Amino acid sequence: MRKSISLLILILPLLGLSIFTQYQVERRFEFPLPLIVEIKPSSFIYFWGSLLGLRRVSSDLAWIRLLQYYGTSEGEEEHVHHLHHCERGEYEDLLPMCQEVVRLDPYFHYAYLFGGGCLAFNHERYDEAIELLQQGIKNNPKFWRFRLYIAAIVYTKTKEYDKVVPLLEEAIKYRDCPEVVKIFLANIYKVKGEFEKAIAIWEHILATSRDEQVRSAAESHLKEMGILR
Amino acid sequence: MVAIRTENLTKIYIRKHLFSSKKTSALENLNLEIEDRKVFGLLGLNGSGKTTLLKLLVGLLFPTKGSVYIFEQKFPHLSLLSRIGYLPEFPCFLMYLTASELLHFYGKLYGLSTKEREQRVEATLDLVDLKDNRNDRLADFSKGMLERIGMAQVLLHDPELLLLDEPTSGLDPLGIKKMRQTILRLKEEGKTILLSSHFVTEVERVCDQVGILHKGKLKKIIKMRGLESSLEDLFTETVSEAV
Amino acid sequence: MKKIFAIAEYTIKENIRHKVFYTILLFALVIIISSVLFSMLSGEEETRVILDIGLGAIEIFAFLSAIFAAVGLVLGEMENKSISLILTRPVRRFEYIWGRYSGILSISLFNILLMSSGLLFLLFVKGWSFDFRFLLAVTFIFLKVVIISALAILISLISTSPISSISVTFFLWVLGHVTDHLKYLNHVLLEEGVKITIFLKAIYYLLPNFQYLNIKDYIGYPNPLVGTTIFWQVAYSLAYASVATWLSVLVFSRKEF
Repeated sequence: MRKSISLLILILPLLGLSIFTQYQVERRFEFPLPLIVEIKPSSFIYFWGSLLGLRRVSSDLAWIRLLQYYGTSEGEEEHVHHLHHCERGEYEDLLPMCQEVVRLDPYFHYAYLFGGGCLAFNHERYDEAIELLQQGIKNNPKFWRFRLYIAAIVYTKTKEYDKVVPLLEEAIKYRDCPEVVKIFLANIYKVKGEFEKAIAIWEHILATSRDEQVRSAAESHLKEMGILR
Repeated sequence: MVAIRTENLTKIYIRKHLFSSKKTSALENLNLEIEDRKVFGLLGLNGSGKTTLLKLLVGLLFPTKGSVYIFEQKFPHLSLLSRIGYLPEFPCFLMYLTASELLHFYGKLYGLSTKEREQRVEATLDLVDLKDNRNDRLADFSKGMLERIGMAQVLLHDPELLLLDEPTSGLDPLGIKKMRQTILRLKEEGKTILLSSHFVTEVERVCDQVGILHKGKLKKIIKMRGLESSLEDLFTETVSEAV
Repeated sequence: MKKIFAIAEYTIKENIRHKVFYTILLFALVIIISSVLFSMLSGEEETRVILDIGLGAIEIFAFLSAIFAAVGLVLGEMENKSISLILTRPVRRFEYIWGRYSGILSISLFNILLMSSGLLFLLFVKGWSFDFRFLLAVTFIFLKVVIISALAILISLISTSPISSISVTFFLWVLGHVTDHLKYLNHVLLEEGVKITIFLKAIYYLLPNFQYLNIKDYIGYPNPLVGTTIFWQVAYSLAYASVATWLSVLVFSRKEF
């Protein structure tokens, strides 16, 4: 009995210390992820992933699902050719799926850039793109490229391509710039008759893209402009 | 000197169920004195409280009431444990260790230095004829070899008091004979031995004194020297009287 | 101290001589390597996916191996009574618990280091540029294991069967990752007119708060953790784990065999 009491005398201050330290952590640092009820996971995999503290993995899985849905290669190639004639209403779930990815991981910058780029430049769904990017700004106020993209999208919407160009030129300087943005810029150059710049981008895409179909699209563009045979 | 003394030692097992608890009394007001350098046999039927008593004497169980003194010192006391060697009825070892690793591990628990340990481990393995198996895993040991390693862990730290719970149960005739020889040799070396058994003949052969335990009570203490009637008769008499 | 070392040492031996240990490690390495397959499906975000799946696998398998050691070995030793040959030697009960616990932690540390170096190798092959937040994430995975192993020992001392110990430990692991939801629950209940704030707050502080240690999940968080926060997080983990371990000692010192 005496032993138990002396152990308790040891444990109680430690318990106090544990509560105190937890309080100190909370005071300094707000838990930076949304509640699971706010995430509204669409699949039990994401739900369990969140329960087990694997949100980034869940977000990655949602991201892979998004890419499968959007069929990166197929989609992009198609829209490379019919950039301005794409049908509205295609890939209806693109925005909600992107939103799920970033609800699971609000700091997944590339998902915002990719989603915004595809929505705006492939599908002319400017408002949805801006909605997604604004979400990104809210979650990542310091990541200024979202603002750059929004500006580019707004000018694209009003067809002020002269204003779009410098913005996108800035955007493609970064390594994690989605291909869709580069392709869009290349097409603007082409329409404006700045073939050299367009060629430079296509050559860059041909050299760096991991996507077979994007590369072949780049090739056909380059052939069209008489660079490749 | 008195090696073991118990005062009103009582052990009641309480088995808790969801809403009720069941009490079974395993030992009742046991007063026992065992002199040192003697072999004391605890004789009793199954469930008479022999194992409980031995476990109380090594601190695996805590008494409900009463106290235990070992070498005139109140138990439990950590330093006393280095003077006791305990062999449980069904010893179970850390099977993934080799014989010598096991003994080294136990040796470390006694705080023996590396040199002392090496010496003791070798000597003990030699004593129980396991020298050639020192690097075999216990998982590969036969039953007889496990019995011997059981004895080795008792003798490892050269204890003064040995508590052996049914040391001969499960041994073959040759094993029983060897165990008897070991016990007698240890007695000659001046060790105090408390062993429990339900084999009257075994107890008769090695013990100086026998206590008959029945249903948690110490019924009789018999000095073997000068005993006129046979121990077996005395035992059955005592036990059936109690019924 | 020597005895704690001796017990820790044999816990390590026990672990590495067990098949389960290798199965867990092998499985972890398979998952880490197979993250490459996933990364192939992830377009431009290859290294991110390898990093996430890799860190996730490290954590889950470190968690599993800690549970296995705490529940399987400690509870197993009490069930097969081989513990009685340890406790009848001059070993204090707290020495046994702390020895077991530090042995389990050493094994976990070894596991985590091995798996992380495998992951690092894979990431470097894939052209990842080193980020020190990786080390932070791995360190905090270890801190989570420090807490859960202590709890697993405590739970296996209280409960009677391995299955119940494992399920309770798993349950605590999950709860620890959603402690913030208790605040939300409190909010919802208050709107309904149910006032049990103090009760919920007590649970909140008693549960292990893994959420705040789960750095691998918000590695991209724009306001990176500062030194003082990290200090308090480490202090919290150690304080919580020692409460659990000393509670284990308390339970264990009253246990009969």
